[in-house]
Amino acid sequence: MDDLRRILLVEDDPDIQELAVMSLETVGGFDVTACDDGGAAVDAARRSSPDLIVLDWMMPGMNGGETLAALRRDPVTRAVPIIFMTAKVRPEDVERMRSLGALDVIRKPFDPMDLPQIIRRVWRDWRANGSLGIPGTGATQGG
Amino acid sequence: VDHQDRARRLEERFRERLRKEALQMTEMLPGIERGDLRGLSRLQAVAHRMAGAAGSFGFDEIGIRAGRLEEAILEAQDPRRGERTAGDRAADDGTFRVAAATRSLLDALANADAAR
Repeated sequence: MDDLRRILLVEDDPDIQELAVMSLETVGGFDVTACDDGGAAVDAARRSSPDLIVLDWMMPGMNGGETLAALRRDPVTRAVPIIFMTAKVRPEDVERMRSLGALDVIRKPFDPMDLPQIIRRVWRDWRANGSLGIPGTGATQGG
Repeated sequence: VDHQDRARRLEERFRERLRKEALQMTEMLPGIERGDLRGLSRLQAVAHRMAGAAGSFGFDEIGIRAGRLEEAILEAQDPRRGERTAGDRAADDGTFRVAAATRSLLDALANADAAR
């Protein structure tokens, strides 16, 4: 069940990106590829075949929703599950993100010691349900 | 040890970023207090990033106040947003709340810097 190894992290804030990479690699033991915008994310997803994409919502250029749409249009990346990360806290924003087909929404700020565990829990729930876009029970507080 | 060094470097870089962003906000504050809202989009971007990042580096209070500032800016740009009454909206054009939230965030930033 715990077959999650390769994560593509898409985050434009360099400090948060480095902290999340450090957390996912060091605490979580994942193999992490990181990039900082939606266009690069589509390229990286094609190249690195991640098991999961952790995608920031608010980015310059393509935002998280537009990036998700681009990934879904590409036959190579369309089935890769996606978790959004966002500093937006309004329930309607979170619900909109989930309605696009994300597995879950992790709210920033996250606790770097807890982030890998949160992602594993979302992954296991998704694997147990066996399909994309299973609605969650609410945005997951990031630690 | 490598991980600890990396974490320390990252934390120091983030502190430096907070200092720079505090300076930017200090420079913008007089204009906001005069009702000049032209820089609000830039301030909102700074507040949004700070709200999302500060707590992850242990600066919880800064993150909370940055979130309040972002919300105040969004309400100033769209008065229908939020829970304010018509009387609240009539009482000011949003600049008072943005200025107050900016000062509150600057206080938290100064406290964090002083606490080093």
